[in-house]
Amino acid sequence: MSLSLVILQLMNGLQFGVLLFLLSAGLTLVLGIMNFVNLMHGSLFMLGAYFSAAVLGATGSFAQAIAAGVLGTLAVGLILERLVFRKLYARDHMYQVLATIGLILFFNEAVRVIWGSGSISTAVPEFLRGAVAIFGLPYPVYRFAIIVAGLLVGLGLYLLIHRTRVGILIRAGASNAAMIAALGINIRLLNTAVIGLGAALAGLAGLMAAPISSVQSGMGEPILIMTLVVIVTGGIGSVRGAFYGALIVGLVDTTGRVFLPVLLRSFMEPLKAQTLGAAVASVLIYLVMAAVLALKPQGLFPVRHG
Amino acid sequence: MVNNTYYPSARSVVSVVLLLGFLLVPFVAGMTGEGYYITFTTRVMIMALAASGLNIALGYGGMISLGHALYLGIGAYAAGICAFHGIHNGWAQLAIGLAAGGAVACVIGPICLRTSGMAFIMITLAFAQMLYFLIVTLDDYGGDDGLSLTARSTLPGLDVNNSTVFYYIAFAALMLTLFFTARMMNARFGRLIQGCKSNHRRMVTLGFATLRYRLAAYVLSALVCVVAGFLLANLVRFASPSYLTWMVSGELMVMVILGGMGTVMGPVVGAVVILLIEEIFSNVSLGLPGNLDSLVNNHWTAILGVFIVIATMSVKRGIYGSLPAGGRKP
Amino acid sequence: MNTILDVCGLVKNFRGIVATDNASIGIRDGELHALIGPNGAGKSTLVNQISGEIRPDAGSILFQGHDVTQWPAWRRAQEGLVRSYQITSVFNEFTALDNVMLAVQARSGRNFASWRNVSHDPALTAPAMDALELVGLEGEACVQVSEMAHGARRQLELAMAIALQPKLMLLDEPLAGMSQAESESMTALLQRLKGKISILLIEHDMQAVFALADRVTVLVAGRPVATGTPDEIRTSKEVQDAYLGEPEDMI
Repeated sequence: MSLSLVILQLMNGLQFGVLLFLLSAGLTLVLGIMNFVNLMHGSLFMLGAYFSAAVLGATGSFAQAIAAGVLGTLAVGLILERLVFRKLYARDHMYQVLATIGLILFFNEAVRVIWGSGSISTAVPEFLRGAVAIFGLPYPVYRFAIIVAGLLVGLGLYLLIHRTRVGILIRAGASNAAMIAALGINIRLLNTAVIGLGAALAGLAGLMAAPISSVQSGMGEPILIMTLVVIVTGGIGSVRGAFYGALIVGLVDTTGRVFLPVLLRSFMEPLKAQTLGAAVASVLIYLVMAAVLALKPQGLFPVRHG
Repeated sequence: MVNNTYYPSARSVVSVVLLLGFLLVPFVAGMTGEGYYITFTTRVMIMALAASGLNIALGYGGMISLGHALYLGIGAYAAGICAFHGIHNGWAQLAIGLAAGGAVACVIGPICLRTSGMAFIMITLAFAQMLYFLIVTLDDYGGDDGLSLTARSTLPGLDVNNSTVFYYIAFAALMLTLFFTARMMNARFGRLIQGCKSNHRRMVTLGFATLRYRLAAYVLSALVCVVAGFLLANLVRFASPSYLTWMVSGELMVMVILGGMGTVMGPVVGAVVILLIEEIFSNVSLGLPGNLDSLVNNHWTAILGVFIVIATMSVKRGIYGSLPAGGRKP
Repeated sequence: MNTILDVCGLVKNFRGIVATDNASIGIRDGELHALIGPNGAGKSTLVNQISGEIRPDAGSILFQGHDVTQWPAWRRAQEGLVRSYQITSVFNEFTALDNVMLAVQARSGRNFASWRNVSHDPALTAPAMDALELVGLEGEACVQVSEMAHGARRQLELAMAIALQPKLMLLDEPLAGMSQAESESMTALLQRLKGKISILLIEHDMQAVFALADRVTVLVAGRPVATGTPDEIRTSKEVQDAYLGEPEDMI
């Protein structure tokens, strides 16, 4: 187990964490402000991947692919907000879970109808190929670009939430949704904006993940589960919690999968070590979540409710 | 009371028709020679049983568990793993499954019940995922491919390999569960659980130590799902990690909520509706023009998805739950 | 004269705001003791600490001689320290009778019984009907709560508290939101309960307070500033100062 391998996996963990952050930030705001459980957030991730892959394949233009991924999912999110989500805000979580499960089923089939059941492959754009030197080690430019892009978006979110008027409304909404409605703020517009923001971020994550993942029906659900783990661990409604939670989950999951079997091999036969290591690695993030909740039931950075 | 004339309510009519229907399916199948009806309806009853189990925790108790497929899996794999090791006695397999499921529920329950809202949903899901991944990595027991049962569990005195006999075993399990659920929910324990769902804070200040009762309801609901899993593995002679996915948990939730939470027959109605939709849209040719028929058959889950969305938005108390309940009219 | 509730030096801070400031108060056995004060004085916070829903940062609460400061709310209820809510908190999906039967069940146990229908169990139905009759709701026994009027729900709230066979009732603004007629019957009801059950009454309705209370404590900024008979309080200079800006309350 060399140092370069460790650094490589840490970078990969960071990259995965950044993608998770993009998904978690949106979802945690939706849950925190509107108390709306949106399980089809993973489907938006999937649609971002599909839209961008399709446009890239058709036009070859990376810029158009990005636009398709972000704007396409934004549109889907806004349409769903108008037609479905709006009617469910006032209802119990159970019904929201139900309706969004129905939407997952629908979109998983819809992409099959349009693009077939297999996975579609999309290539890393020309100017992002190759490797860059990180701590003297070669690391794929594309993955590094994801980290940079994700952190920039994170910075943008921070500025939005802490330095703008809209941000004040968002923070107030996360803290006391009923109050901002009582203050006469156009709650409908705010809700729509939050859903839209979440959808766009999910689409962005999806389009960035497309070249390095298997773009197929159902790719959203494993990511969704991880996203839910992140926001519960980080604290519902807290973007800061989503950030740190995503990094923790990303690092733990990535490094766990690689190093746990290796670690176990030192006192177990290789085959057993591999099997047990893989099994434990899969559930590592749940154990982390359970541990955090045992000590801090509201998550790492709970939003204080006024 | 004023007058004792009894007019049957819509709910009673639906319940009787449904249960009578279940009773008579094997006869109809016998007459038409369609053995498939028996297999299909057995599966419906087994899923209705699982949904009824979830109903105890979710519908009556208000505990939003997105991880009940865990217990379905435990029941199925109890049968499968026992059969793998040569233990074919059904009662032994079931006992092992119930013990395992009960133990797991007693460990998970207290952890989950200390949280609420989104965290509760996530923790229940997390535990189901944990068992899913554990089973997938256990290649000895089939791993990802699942585990075949060499033979159905033996129940002394009963010819379980006869599909009609097995049908009535499942029917009996369902009827017993429905009967005891009905009695329980009108008794002290049931009222307590429903009170916790209605207004937990008030239950606490009334003086109830609510944790132990909610835990009992959770464990009971888990045990019913174990039985359902056991029957399911026997029906298809196969135990698979796919029984443990969260889509299965989600499907059970759909059946309970769309059927009618907190009613005895709601989950049964939910199971019937969902599985009929599945069956009709995936297999039956509807005579649609052009390629539409095969499109529908191949992609029926999209239709199911849309149905779930629309039904959730329009039906407040579930299909059965929305039917009037009153019995006696002056 | 026994003291049924002895609150000593209670302190509660919420992120820098002192909600309860070294509060001490004593309730005598059998009395109806009113707690009044301007809005924001911390009356609800104090009652929440007495009922057990909030833990105080410092101080102690003695109920019938037992130190209940660390006891959870349900245990205090079991012991006879029962509260009603300012915002009606009942079981909307049940009938009035079912609501009170749950309260009766809380006292009588056998909570794992899963066979016998509660509607056929006189051990539950009889005391429940008695409590409903006491508050005047026996006519609405079979009505679902979601269809009851606001005033009736407040009466139900009280019936549930009574069904718990309390030694001390904490009544948090039972007259809130009631019409004149409803207030009068509620006041008459409280009059009937006086002496049988010790009561700590939080109220803004001064007419009711002065008609009912044996003693009154005035809470200002989390601290009791005066305790005495209604007449003593009415004429107290300190109390008038405390209510500066709300002189119309002091009729």
